[in-house]
Amino acid sequence: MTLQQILHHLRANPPRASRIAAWREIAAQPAQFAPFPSPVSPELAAALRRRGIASLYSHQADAFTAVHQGQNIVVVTPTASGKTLCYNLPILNRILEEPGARALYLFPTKALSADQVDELQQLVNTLSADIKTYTYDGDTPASARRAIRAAGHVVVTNPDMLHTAILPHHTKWLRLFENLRYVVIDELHQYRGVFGSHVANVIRRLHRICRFYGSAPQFICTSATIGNPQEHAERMLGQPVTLINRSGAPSGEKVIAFINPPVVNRELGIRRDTLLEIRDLASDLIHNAIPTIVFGRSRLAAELLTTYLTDLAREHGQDPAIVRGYRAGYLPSERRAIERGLREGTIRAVAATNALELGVDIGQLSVALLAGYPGTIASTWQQMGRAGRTTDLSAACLVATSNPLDQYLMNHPEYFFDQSPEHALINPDNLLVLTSHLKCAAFELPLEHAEPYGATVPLEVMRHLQSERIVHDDGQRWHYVAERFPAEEISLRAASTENVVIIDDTDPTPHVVGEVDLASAPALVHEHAIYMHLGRQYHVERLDWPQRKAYVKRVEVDYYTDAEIAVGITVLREDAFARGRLPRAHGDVVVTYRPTIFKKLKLFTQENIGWGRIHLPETTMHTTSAWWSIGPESTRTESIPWTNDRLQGALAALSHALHNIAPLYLMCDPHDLGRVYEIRSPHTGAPTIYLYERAPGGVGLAERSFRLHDELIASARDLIASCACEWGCPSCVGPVLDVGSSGKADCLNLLRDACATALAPA
Amino acid sequence: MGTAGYEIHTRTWPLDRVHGVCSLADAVEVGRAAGPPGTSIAWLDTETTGLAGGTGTYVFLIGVATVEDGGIRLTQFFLRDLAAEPEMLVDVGKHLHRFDALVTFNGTRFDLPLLQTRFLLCRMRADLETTQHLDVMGLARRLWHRRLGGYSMALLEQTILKVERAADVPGWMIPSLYVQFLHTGDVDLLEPVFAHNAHDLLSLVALHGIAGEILAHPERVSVTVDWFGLGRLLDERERTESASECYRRALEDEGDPGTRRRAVTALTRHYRRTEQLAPLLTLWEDEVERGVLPRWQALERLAMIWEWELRDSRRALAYADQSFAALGDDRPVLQHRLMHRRQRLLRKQTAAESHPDLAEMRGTRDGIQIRPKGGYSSRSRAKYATTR
Ligand SMILES: [Zn+2]
Repeated sequence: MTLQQILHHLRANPPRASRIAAWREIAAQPAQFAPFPSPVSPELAAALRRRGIASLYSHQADAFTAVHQGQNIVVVTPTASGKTLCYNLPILNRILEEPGARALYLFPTKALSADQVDELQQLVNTLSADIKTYTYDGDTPASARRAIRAAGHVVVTNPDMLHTAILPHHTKWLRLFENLRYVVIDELHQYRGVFGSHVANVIRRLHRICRFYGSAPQFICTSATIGNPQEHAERMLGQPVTLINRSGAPSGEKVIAFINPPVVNRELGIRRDTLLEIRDLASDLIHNAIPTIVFGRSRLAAELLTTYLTDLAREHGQDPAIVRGYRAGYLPSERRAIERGLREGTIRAVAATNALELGVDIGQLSVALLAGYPGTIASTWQQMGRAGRTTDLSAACLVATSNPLDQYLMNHPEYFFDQSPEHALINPDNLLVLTSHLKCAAFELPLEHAEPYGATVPLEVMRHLQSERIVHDDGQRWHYVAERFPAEEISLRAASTENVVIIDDTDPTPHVVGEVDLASAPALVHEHAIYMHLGRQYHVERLDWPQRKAYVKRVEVDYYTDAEIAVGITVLREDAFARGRLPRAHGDVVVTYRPTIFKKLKLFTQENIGWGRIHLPETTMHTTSAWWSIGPESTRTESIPWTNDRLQGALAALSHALHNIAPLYLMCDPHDLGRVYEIRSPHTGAPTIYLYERAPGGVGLAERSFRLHDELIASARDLIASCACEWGCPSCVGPVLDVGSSGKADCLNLLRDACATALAPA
Repeated sequence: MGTAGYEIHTRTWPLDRVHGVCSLADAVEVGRAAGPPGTSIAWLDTETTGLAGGTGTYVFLIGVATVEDGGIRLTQFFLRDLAAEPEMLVDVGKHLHRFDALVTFNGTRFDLPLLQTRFLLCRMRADLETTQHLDVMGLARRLWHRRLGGYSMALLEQTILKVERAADVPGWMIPSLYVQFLHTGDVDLLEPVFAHNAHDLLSLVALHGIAGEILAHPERVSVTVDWFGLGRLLDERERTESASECYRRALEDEGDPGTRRRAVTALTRHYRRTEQLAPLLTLWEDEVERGVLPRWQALERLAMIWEWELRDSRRALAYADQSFAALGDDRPVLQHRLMHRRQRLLRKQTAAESHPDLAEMRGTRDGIQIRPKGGYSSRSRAKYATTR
């Protein structure tokens, strides 16, 4: 069967068709070609032709022309539309003209940079020009570093290395900075929220160093689809940026379907398991060798999907090796092999986590199956964009879970199709972030009083640093005079980069099978967990937490394990408090994650066949939080019977609404904030909701939400009041299954009262 | 003196001043034996705002000691105002240009790269990297690290130079004193730092002298030294005779197997190069007795000597057997190597017995130096190299 026939079958077969919640067909787009622009050197054009590129897509030519005219650009085009040529072409052309010219490539992850270096290197080899491309990251041996600093035409690195290793030692990189013509920022959309605000400051520091060496590089950025690519790029760079978003790459017809699994337990509203539904959908695809990618929302889901799909392949009499898993914990060599297998067709189905959302090149796939809503419109499009062929039909299916958010989308598909993807928000002037980077900037070069840094160097911050004896003012410039190396004290990313290594000691010679990041380790490799890797099962014999090592043995069992983690919050110190209908405060808190129990669930049926306790210390994070309680005057209202359920719905609604609104005012990413609510908080003694910062220590978002209270509740009220939904939706208070039938109305009433008192004269 | 932004302080010590165990004149004189090549030396030491390195560490005091006007002249460049760094560095550059060699303590890793960075930041290209330079710390590490458990200047002053520092400011306090000065403008705060820098330079000159004396006359060294380290330094300077004497002295009481093996190996190389076979034999026989190195290892070396240098495959076989017996069962790779040697020796012996006229000359043991027939053939050397 062809994909066409499979899709037809899906719609024609009544029990299956009844699950289709939405069906959209996107028409094919023919290719828009453009000749090589005249400034492209004949030898470069010839090399491209030898690599099978006879002409450019229109967006590649547009990008080249804009860069040739001296503009900064951001390229937003679909996956596999030849994005990398948008920067490689103008840069190689320039180096051929001016062999001294240098370029800096910034990638958010190692996997990505390895891929791009490969592609660039192949083009350079075809050119047979003396152009040197080097990767400079934590793994670069010290012996190679000197050569890279002196001779690399293209230096490939990441923002973290730029921040800690390159900028603070810029005199060693004299050659690079004196001749820096281009900076490439790939996957710009990844740099949002607090992380993005840090990176924007690293870029400001880069601008300063370039000015010092007399260079003014142009920036070439690429981004996945987000709501505001141009604005985001301009905030990131502090310079005007030209948007290039009309793709000239051809695309075949594409079907997008929402699939809602049938209800299996009417009382509890539970639907058939998403993974099993995916398995059924994938059956025909694997049987007919249609290249398919399946996205799970977690590692566990991705591994289970791998198991299910491998089993399918066997059932259809195919080599189980055509199915592979792909996620962040895999060793780099494993990832490379999988990527190659996909490109070459020896692998036909991949089960992945969002590791593949990143622009790793895996060739053309026909179908993408999403096991659950990835959480944002932007990342849903990105995962769906993984399927797409230049001429043939492709399809992407979102298969819902029982989760309220998924169910909302199934009932309101237009919410997804008619809305623009989320905006990427950053605030490079966040006081804490800015202060950290001003220290680094002063360390790198004395800061002139009137120097541009963002707008100008903020006087009050520098005075503060002066009083702390971190900088010294000589009347014209601030000099860094503290002893510590400031860049090492600031991590750009909130998440720790520590990992737990998984060691298989089944055989006499133990070997490493993979690793998991520290935060996920308690849930995945606690003792007696079944850890799944490349579809194989391992029983965790021992987790040596202090040494960050998990010892496992290979097993074959018919169940998997799923751990439960309880999240709690404790107030350590209240920094400020304000009365009102919604009494509020902010201060220091500890957020605890406590692994409690694990369940043993039977493969394929999910039947619960046992459980065990997890004996692990809870992990804690010190951070800052803002919190709001519901004052007694609101809950004592005679007219409303405040049952616990009803109160819970109102709290869920209120926390969801504030969590939705706050990032817009704080210019952060929703992921920078976590939310928790308590029916009766031990700290306030009242029903309370918390918005806490996900970055350890916080960067002042909590305090700002406390100060912006009046604006926040007013716009939360307006948002809810003007939302067209009846009982609640993801855009306002959250889906009705989360907040109950009275959640939206109760929340709105609470906010109206709070606004009325906030605006009343004191 | 100097402009408002920076100051140049100078003072001169008479050459007959004694710092440590000898006069400055002697130190300057004998120090030459340690290097660096060049006709005029500048001893250099800096004080900085931190130890982290990178572009944000200032050098606020640069002390340069030179031999001038019949004394040791100290020139200290003091950065009073951070804004005056470029002007000061111009002067420092000019001053250093008058000399063609630098001596520092830890200059390779610290002072010179830092100065280089400061020059670059002030848009000057300094040629510090190409100047002849001796880092005395490198010598001190070899000469004293194992003996003294460290080689910091403070430790060396105490144990080698035997000089007292009265009320000295500890190094870790210096950056914060400078920041306090910047804050208050009270230059008195830094008086102890100027004194500290001056003292460091005197000690550097004296230590350079001692190192020179040791290298020039290893036979009459009167201070504690690590004989093995000294041997290595002499080897690097191609003074192999003196070096091997040091290795012999090192072996008198060396109890660390690693160092002992390196010393014995260095001596072996020396004896073989100079074709002193009797001492070579004694050397390894002593090692068998001494028992610091693994017994099998010393016995294997004896087998090798008898096989390749003394060309007696029967004696060689006997040692190979003893070595094999001394080796535990749990070392399969080594066992395999020894078996291989045994088999080869057995073959050789059979060949020698069936062709007596081809039997190799055998060594006797009466302190007579024995050379194999025709000296060393390139073949036997090559074989030696592959079986080592
Ligand atoms: Zn709504």
